[in-house]
Amino acid sequence: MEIASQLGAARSELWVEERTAGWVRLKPITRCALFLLGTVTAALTVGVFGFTHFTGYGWVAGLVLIAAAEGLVMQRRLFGAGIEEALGLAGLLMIVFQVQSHGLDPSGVRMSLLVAAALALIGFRFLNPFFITLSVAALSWAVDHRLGAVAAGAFCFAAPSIALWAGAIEFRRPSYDRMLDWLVVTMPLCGYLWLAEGAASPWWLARWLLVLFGAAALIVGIRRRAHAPLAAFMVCTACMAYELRNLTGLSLEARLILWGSAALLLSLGLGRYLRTPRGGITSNRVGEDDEFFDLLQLAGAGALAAQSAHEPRAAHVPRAEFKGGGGTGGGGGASGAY
Amino acid sequence: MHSLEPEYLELRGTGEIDAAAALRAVALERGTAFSVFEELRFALYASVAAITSGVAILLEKNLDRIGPVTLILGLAVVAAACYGTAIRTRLRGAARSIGGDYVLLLGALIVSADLGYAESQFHWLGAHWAWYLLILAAVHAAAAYFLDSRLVLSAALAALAGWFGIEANLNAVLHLDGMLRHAGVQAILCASVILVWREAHRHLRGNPAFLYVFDNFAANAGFCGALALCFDRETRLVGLLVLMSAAIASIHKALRGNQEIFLIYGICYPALGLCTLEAQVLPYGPFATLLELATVVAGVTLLWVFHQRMKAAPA
Repeated sequence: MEIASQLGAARSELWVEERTAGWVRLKPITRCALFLLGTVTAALTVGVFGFTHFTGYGWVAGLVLIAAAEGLVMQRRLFGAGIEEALGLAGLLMIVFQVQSHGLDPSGVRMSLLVAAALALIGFRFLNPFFITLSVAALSWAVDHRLGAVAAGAFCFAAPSIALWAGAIEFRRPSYDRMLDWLVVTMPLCGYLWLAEGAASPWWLARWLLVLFGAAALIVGIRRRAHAPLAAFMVCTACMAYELRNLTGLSLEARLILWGSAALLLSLGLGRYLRTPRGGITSNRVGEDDEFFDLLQLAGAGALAAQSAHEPRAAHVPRAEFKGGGGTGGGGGASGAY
Repeated sequence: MHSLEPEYLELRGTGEIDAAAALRAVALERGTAFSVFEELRFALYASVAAITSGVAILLEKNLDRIGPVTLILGLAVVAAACYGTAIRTRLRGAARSIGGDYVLLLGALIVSADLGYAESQFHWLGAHWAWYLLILAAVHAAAAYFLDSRLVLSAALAALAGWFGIEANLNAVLHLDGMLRHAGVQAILCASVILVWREAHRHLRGNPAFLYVFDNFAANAGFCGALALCFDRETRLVGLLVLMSAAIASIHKALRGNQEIFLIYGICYPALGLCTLEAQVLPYGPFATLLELATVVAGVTLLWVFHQRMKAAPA
């Protein structure tokens, strides 16, 4: 499935059919859409059971959702299709909330551990890296309850460090790699948030952890030719930039323009330098276009353009008075009423 | 880490993939070819976003200290420098890199901010000031065509949508102040204009890569407009008709061009619209919820069926 996905091979091709044995995996964009629809389906299912007003309907709704998810996996052979993941997660969380309603403190350690265990269970069942990451984040919540924010922050940096180390082990399943990748990329941010939030944490701790983990991630990323550690390095850099925001005493706009320009120049320089591959590393696109990122890029450009076109004007004209050029007469030309 | 190298070699050995594809895949698996294209793209986007946000704050806060003329001229010089690099690349006949694309986008965004700011200071267009968005759309469109940039085309379409008042009207939708119908009509008009532009572009054999941008903007504007009509009691039937027509067209396009995103638009937007209508028309209760559930399940099933059909189609 991984090879078929990388080569963009249609499932009707004989070798794909033979080797995947009917198992189906979708593109990220379709997976996201189905995950969203699955979440809505789960919420409506719980709503329908809720109208029955019988005691413990949440248990039944949870079990029905899990059964539906398992049915999709076993009968339809879905893997990473989004819908079965949403239904399974919602079902298990429903059961967890039923357990919680039997006397567990919703913000307590036990509840955090229960949620973490449920997320880990569903994450390993569906080999979903997002759920595993959420599980570790929930675990950090429990650590915070028991030992405080500094320990939670340290835990969040320890988890991706172990994942970074474990990334060197060769797995036969790409999904295990993805689980480690997600931990490597997201947990430093989680750790930074704990340390920034914790009033008792020493000011230097977050900075040192960000520098050490960021440097390690950069070295590992280059040596292993892996994207996730490089993304982790970028996350650490962004956190560090935020952490050092008051260092220069410059105004916000000056910092945004200066650091943005510095990052732009650095990226341009790197892009130019790597246009000719160096040690196999290149800034050119290798492989097929990624529709998901292309779409994100266009949407992002559109969003920035909308912001840039409106904000200067909006800053000097009260927002409520804005009327688009389409006017109030149904389009084509300004109404002049503003 | 995992490596699919043995599998690729096996497939090459049995002749199921060609030598070039196998070589490229094995190089990627071994890391002898490793692209940081996506990392660079993200870094460039973040940089451009930071700079434009900084410029927006600068324009808002430092008017008295710097003065409007100095600010406008300063920004114009920066924008000209950004456009200059792209023009130089074009005159050399070279292909623009991803970095060059984002420098050009930065130039376009600075022009947007500069023009908006200049109009707000000097009131060149008087009561018809909103036309600056249409002028901006034209300027960006000209630059997009001349410099062959999809990102600048996105900026042009965003300015056009702004001229139609989509952003302001969507704000009104969120505040539920009775602007739903107007917002819906404006968004559908905007989508229609983009589709007409797209057809003209196709007819004149413009860059085929631009079509994807037109299609996505038109689809989102059109579906959002139809949804807005569905929210309004008096126009919900018309909204439903528009929504279903757009869904059929979108699904047809997806199946014909093997583009999954239009399948997603064609299923998700109508599912949301139908659920909204059911919630409006039926009294709150188990029947309405059950019907909404059935609608979403039907949407999922349709998405799945059409997706399977697309996957089964020869590439």
